[in-house]
Amino acid sequence: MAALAAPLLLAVVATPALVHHSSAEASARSQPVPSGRFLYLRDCGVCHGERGEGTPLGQRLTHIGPAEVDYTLSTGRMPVDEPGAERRRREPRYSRAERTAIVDFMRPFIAPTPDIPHVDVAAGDVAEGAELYLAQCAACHQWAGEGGALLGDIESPPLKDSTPVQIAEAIHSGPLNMPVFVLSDDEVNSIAAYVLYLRHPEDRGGVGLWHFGPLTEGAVAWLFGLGAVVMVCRWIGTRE
Amino acid sequence: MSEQQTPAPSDAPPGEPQQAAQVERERRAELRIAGAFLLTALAATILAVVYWRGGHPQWEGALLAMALAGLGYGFVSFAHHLLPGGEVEQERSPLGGDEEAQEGIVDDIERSAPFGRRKLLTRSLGLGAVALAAAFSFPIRSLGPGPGKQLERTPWRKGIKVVDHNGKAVHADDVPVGALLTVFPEGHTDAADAQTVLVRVEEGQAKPRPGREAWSPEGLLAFSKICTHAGCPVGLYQAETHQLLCPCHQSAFDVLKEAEPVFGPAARALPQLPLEIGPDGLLRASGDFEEPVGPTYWNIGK
Repeated sequence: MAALAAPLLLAVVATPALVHHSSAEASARSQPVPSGRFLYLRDCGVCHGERGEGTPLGQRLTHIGPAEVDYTLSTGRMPVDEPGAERRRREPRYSRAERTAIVDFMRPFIAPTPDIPHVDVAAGDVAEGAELYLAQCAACHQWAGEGGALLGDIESPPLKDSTPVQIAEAIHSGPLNMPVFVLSDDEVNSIAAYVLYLRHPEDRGGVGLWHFGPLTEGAVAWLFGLGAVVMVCRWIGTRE
Repeated sequence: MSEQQTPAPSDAPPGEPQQAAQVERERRAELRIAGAFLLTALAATILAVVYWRGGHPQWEGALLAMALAGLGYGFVSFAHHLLPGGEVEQERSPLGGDEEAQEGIVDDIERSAPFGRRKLLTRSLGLGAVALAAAFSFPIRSLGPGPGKQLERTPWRKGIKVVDHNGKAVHADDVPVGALLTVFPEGHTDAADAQTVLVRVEEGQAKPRPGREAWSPEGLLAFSKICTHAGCPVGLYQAETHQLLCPCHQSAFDVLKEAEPVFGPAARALPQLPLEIGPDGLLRASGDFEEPVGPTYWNIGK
């Protein structure tokens, strides 16, 4: 319905806002990357202020570093559709080049650190990463990176789609409710390597059961294991 | 098992064809059972070989299961098919004796009532009670000695350096606002009762009670990591809401209000560790926890 209505509305009513929006998207596709200043002022400045000073609609940005800006844009958590909307992971709005342009435009008025990190997954040690992950990350993101519920309506997101750079950015900058973790570059490389390993883990116990953890494993044990035991008991106790 | 050992068909004399069918059934059961036992022998032999050749846990498990299943199937089938089945009745002999014998028993009972026997009973009962009491006293002896002041002390001392899990001293500038770090007293990174969470909030955000303002320099706050409910590590931190969470039973503690519990079963605040920043910028404790760390117990603080 909405998909049908939108072009119709555009064609018939052609409000200035919609025309502006669609022409901006068209220019982003066909022409060279628009300037970071243009993108920032068009999409961010309205809520966060011309130079990140914040407005009643959006928080101040001057205390956050390039890593958090890049993380928030590359995971699609910003820009949101309307002020105050929940920031959820979705398709990013900008290409990599556009993102870089926005971050470079913002550098003069935001904090210099943490900067966008360089991650070398190949240099990471998966075993060390596992130890660090279980000690530091698993409490919220679940042992297999599935994410989970925190307090109230707050959830820690799954790590299924996180890129190594996003993992490092999140560790260094602590976006949203996540705390900042003080870890060396080597340790971050290892954690990123382990998170990537978790996408296709070696399930030593057999079937992974979607990696939900003890609940599904317990359910399977009860249903199939105890079911089988009951059947065997019946067979033993039956007399002909 | 050979053909000669086949148990005879049941005692009631059935008709000739029926008897033949029964014999045939039992012969087939016997073959099946023998097959199951042979499977056991085979699986056990392979199991021994696999183990001897270096072992393979999955195959060993499967073979052992196969061997035991064969044995189990054999035994149960044996009981089902080869042991005499059906219900057997036996007439009971008439109850009670003749009158003379009954009177004799009454006499016997009356004669045996006096003290001679009762003394034996009371003595043996007393002996049993004493032995039982002695046995019960052994677990009581195992309860001691009392923990004394041990539960109220940790390795934290005034002036001891704050280090991370690698033993590296923590500099105040290493901990940005919003950070979460698990720290230990220097030289005690293996002390379970000393593990502490260090968080940093914006300076002036926390509201310490009077007398504790100096405990959190530059917005650095340290609390015992051991939940006051059941002792789990309070390792989850919601940086935006400033709440520490325990993963076991969802207790939540507000770090801005001296880690008072705000949700869940924990009833006592996480003990706070007083911190100070040395002239070299390194973090140090300015004392031990003032309250006992870990799960709350009934005579706490007495």
